[in-house]
Amino acid sequence: MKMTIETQPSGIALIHLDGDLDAKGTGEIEVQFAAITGEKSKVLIDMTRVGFLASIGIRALLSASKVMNRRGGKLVIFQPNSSVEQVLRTCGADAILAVTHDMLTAQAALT
Amino acid sequence: MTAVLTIHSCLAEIARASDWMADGTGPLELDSSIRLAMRLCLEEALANVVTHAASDEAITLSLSIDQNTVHLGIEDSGPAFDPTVAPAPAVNDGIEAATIGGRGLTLIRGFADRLDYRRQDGRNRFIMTFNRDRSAPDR
Repeated sequence: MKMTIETQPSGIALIHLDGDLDAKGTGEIEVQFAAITGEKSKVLIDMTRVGFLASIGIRALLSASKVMNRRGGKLVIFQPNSSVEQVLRTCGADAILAVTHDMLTAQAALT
Repeated sequence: MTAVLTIHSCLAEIARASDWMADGTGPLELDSSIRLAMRLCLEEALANVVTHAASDEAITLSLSIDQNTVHLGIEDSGPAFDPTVAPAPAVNDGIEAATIGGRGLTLIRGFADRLDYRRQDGRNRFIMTFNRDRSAPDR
């Protein structure tokens, strides 16, 4: 799992994830992911290149979202593929996490 | 055909188990949705076992394929745990009230076509069944 971070002029931290959010992939990024979501207040997670999502990855997303929410921040998930979205839907995480397929909507939700 | 793999109880072994299952089902004509369901259920079931079993525990996996179904079995000698009846976390619609973990069972129930569990000879025997034809009537 690869993770790259770019900070946009608006202050939004755009996190690109590339790989699988299974036990192995989540383990590879969780420390860095928790650090960045613990520091930033506006985080957009680009899931375009995430091919697989398991509950350990959902746990990381929910945990980060909760921490940010308590600080008055927000985390938005951008463009998960259909199988990843099916996983989010099946376990009810889509009702908790902000998920969008439109960049303008995503950025608007964070500003 | 039936294939068997024994792994140790640790998170790092889950990837090996996933590769083993992918190899075992590789030649089959299976829809990508079934492959996703099988990989997800294997990952979630093993994550549960690894969390609750001792670290030196041996976990036995079996993959059995017939004309209509694929059966994925997981055996361990950890504490008795029946995934078919264990409570899943409540679904919440707000991040503050949301339960962070425990969604694996919900995913297993949502993606497998049938679940069977029995405790036998001090071991948990959990079998997840997947219909090779996802339009099969019992789904």
